[in-house]
Amino acid sequence: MTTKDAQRIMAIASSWLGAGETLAKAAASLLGARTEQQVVTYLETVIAIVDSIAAGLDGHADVESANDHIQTLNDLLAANDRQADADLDSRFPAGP
Amino acid sequence: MPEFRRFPRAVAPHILLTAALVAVYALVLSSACSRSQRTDTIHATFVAVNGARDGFAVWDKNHQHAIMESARSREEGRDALARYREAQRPAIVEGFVVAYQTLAAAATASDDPSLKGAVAAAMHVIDAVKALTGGAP
Repeated sequence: MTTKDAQRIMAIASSWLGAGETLAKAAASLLGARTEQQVVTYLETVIAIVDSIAAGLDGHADVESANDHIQTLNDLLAANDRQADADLDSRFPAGP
Repeated sequence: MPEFRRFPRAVAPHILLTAALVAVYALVLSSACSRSQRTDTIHATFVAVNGARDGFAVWDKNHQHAIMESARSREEGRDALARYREAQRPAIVEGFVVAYQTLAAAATASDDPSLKGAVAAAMHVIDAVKALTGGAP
């Protein structure tokens, strides 16, 4: 095993240790969750972080494509904005 | 319900702590300056920033939902959403922009300052997100 191999294994272990910690905390929190939305939010959050870490460790992520990653963030936030605006419009429909 | 409105603030620290842990591990494990260690540091830091970005996006979605649900009128909701989007969120987005750009620069360079700058930018944006979401390790 080379030094690089060892470092990679440690990096993977560290990453999954972090993900495992998140999962453990999420599971513990689920016990205290009081609404279905809370459960959904926890699961969405856990899935997002684990997917992100897994994609990075699998080598699918390209460090040098900064603009693509920034665009991804902007797209996600724009989608959130549209959803919140639509929800607000649905909750308070405009008058005739 | 108060519990629901507080909920996104309870989730964010878990995400960010994970991302921060990965970044810190990367920094500690790969503080030397060999090429492979440099690559590993950049990669691990990049994964941490991506994790923080995706976690922040989920928090943002739920935070906006909570703002919408707590509004008592359409105008109040629009104002509250605008305040969040224009006054609080831009600093976080800018932090991610700087982190990604410095990481990209470090990936194409071989000097220590670029690597340290990239890791510092990553930690800065993670800290900024923690501050916004009220998260604490």
